[in-house]
Amino acid sequence: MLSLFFSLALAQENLLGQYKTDYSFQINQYQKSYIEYVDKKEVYTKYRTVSTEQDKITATKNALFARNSMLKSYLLALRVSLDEFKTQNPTTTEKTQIELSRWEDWCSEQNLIIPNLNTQADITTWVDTFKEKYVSIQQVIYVSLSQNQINQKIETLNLIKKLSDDIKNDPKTGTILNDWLSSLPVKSDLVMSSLKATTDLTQAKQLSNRFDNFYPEAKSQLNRTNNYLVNMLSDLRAVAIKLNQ
Amino acid sequence: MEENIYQNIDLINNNPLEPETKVELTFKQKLKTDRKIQILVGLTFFTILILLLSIVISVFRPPVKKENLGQNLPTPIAVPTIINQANILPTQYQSQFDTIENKIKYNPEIIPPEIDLNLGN
Repeated sequence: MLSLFFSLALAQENLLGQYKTDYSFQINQYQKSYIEYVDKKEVYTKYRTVSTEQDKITATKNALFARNSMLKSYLLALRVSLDEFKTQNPTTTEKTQIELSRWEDWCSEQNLIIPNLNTQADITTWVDTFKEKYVSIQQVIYVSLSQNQINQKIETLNLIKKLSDDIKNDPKTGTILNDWLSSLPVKSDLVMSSLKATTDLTQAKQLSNRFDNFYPEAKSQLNRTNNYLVNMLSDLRAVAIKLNQ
Repeated sequence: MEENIYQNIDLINNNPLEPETKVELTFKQKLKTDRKIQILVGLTFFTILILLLSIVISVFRPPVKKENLGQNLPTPIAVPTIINQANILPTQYQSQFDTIENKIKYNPEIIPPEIDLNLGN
């Protein structure tokens, strides 16, 4: 049973690695097609002929297609990465994964539409629609990134609590060491309140046409959480060393 | 014919027959006219005033009692941190510490792509 669990975890890790590699490949493809698009656009701006316009439209379509493919591969990698710590918060994580999956499908659909855009007017309309949708895509991206790190911190906190209980129950641990361990629940509460603040940030309502990026603030809360966890582990290490003396 | 030498009798220094002589001003006259000297004198006066004031304060200040001086503190010396050394941790908890440390260090973040939203416009 245990070996099955480990092999599943290993397969999961390999899968995530593959998706990350694919995402890197798609980034390269997008960068190449974007450079070509910029070149063709410059040529068209200079000569303004029918053939240069056609070249520009083709290059634009290629770049938009590559961009969608890159976005889709990113969303896929992000969705799979959420599996890593999903057990800490299965319902919310599952909801986020469904949302990511929906946008992956949307990107695939758009890649069926893009080859049929034949004029600059078609492209402009499509680009405007994409801009609107991208507000929601960014929202789900940053919610997922925050959620994954929240889950990771909860898992770490649980491991610390488990270790703390083990040390407490150690027959060598005397009353003095129990006093040392008494500060851990306070720090644990600080971790939880910091994670709650991060969750609240991710739930902030967005305006329809503009993405208000909450992630830098969420990231600073997550860093604070990390510091608390490091501090707790350091306390436990000191207690464990004391046990050995 | 005899040559007439003319001179302006109002301005003695313009007398071509006599060389121009500079009149030395007294310190009082300089103090009234020269701005630099005024500033210099002002600053000197101010410095002397502060000096006198500090002497007066130090004379009238009550001496610090011996019992209020406190004890000499030891000089802080950097002690090397040894708690990260694995061998001093109890072996039964070693793997748990390693797992937690790896979890804390691990960054699951995948950097989002940079997108030019004006592509196609």
